[in-house]
Amino acid sequence: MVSYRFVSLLIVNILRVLLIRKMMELFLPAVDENGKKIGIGFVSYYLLTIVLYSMFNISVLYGFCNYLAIAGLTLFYQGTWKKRVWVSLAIFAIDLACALAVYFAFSQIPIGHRQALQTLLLLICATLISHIAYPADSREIVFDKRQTCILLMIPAASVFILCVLLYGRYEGMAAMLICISILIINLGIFYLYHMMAENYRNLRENDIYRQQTSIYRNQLDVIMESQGRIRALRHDMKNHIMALQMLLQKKDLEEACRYLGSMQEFMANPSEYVVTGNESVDGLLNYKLQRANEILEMVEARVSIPEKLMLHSFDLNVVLGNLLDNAIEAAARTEEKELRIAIRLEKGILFIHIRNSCQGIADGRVERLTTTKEDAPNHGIGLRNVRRIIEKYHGDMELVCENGCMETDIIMYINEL
Amino acid sequence: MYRIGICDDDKELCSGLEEQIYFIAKELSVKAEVEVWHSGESIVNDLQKGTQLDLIFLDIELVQADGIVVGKFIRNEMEDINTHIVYISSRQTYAMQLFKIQPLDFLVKPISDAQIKEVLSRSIKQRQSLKSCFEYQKGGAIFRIPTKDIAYLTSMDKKIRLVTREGEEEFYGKLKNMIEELPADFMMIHKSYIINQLYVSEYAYDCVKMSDGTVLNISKPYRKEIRGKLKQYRRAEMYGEL
Repeated sequence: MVSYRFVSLLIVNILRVLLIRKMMELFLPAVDENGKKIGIGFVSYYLLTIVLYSMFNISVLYGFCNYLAIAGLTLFYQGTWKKRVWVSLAIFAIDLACALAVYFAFSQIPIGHRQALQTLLLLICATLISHIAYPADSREIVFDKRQTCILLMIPAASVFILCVLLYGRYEGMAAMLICISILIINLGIFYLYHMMAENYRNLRENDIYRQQTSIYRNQLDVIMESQGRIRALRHDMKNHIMALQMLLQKKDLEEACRYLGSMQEFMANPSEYVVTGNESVDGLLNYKLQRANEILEMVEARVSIPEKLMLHSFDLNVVLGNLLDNAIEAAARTEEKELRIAIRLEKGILFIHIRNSCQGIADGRVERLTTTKEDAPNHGIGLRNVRRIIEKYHGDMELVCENGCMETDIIMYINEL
Repeated sequence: MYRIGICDDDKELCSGLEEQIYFIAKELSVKAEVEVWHSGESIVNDLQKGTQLDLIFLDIELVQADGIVVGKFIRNEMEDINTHIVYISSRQTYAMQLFKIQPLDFLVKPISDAQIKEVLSRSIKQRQSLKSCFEYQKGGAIFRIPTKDIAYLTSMDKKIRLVTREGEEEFYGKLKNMIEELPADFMMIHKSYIINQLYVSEYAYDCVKMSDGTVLNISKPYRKEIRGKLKQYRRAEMYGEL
């Protein structure tokens, strides 16, 4: 009988561990290189829970160790510690609520059966959770303090109630109903999370669109200004020609040259830094570089790309926009105040090179930038978005800091052969 | 002797540019010979007759045969990818077709001395790396071939197929050993392919299209390395430009 119980525990626990892993991966993105470590982590978690369960059965001590183990597993994934705590707590609350609901409802039946029922309940919960459609990038979302607090409070309170139930040796239907209600509340919180993520994404998209609109407005201004200058020149063309004729008749070449020079100067539009014919790139660069020119000493751009690029303009805007914002901001805090950018298309590859003066960054390869802005959770996202888009084009980005000079190099493949 | 061509219908500009080039070549202590054409047809004619150039400053907006036609003639009909083409224009917007010709650079008129200096030294530098020769054994005899003529090498079993501009050669050997003998412009993209970057007409993350139209796969373990090399290669160039 003992061996039968033990074997069923072994089998059922496999399913339980797999379900916990699945739930965890719904919320936390895995790091590619960690694949093996994650596997080992979950196997040891499996063994640990078996030992704990056989020693302590369901008890406060078992629960405590179980929580620590789940929290430990979240360390293999990417995420802030707040999010790790939340995910592990929410998963643990559901796991515990399932266990206790079955424990209270069927206290008479053999323990092996209870294990099976408990895991079945967990399977239902996991299925429900995974059926809430999470936005593709929700795993990387970072919430601010208040939101995290709300998300944390519910599972924390649930765990507390469950512990009280367990400790007080409550029994029967009432306790089971409490457990089920807690389960439902905790499922609700995942839905809440989903809605918050959606809302967050909308806000971010709005932000990008708002910026896009001002970029287009600016580009329109630039174009109108250029045209206005040409129109003004054409208006006075007769006079200019007459003046030039006069100067040439007098053989005053020097003055004629100067006159032509001033005509050219009159035509040049100072806010048009980049003219590639590619509207979205022109728009973005003219907008950003104009801003850069206001606060920096030295701004230089060299762009050779075709008028039409096989690249979603939204994607390119996110990449260039974010990187230029970072570069301008960093350069503004230095003495040199330098910014240079080169963009080039060659053999189906888009290369972007940005160089700016910077301060307070250690020499060498830079993996991630820590933000200097106030509301930290919502920043540093820029670079992550850039990385994601570059990955979409199978490209790569490298940031290197050397002698107070930050260099960003990007390569993106724009066609599929 | 560095042979440089200028093709532009603006005669004033041509003679100005010619002077600038001679001056800068002297500064770089390079022996240069500059020849000027005023129409697309005339340069195409002379190229057909066998005129060889290292570098051409080619105007985009020529009257009849424009810069695109001349560029296409050089790349497609002459099958010449060694001649460096620098497009010059008063416009700053470029059609996609121009990029297909793989110009060394685009320059906007008026052209400054610094720009010519940069482009000329880049052209010379790229060319110097192509002077080496590659040796292989076939039937007991040793053959030598300039590495700049090699487009790519593929291996099957123990046989190596060497594809050049003119044709193909087959001999026995190990591809792994060859990459060490070849200059840095060559890349191993697959355990049985080595390519010459010069002969690539388009890159994708998982394959390359060679100038003869062959598409070769970049196998998974090599992709990251290739990406890094391309980035490094380009970086050095852009650094010089800025």
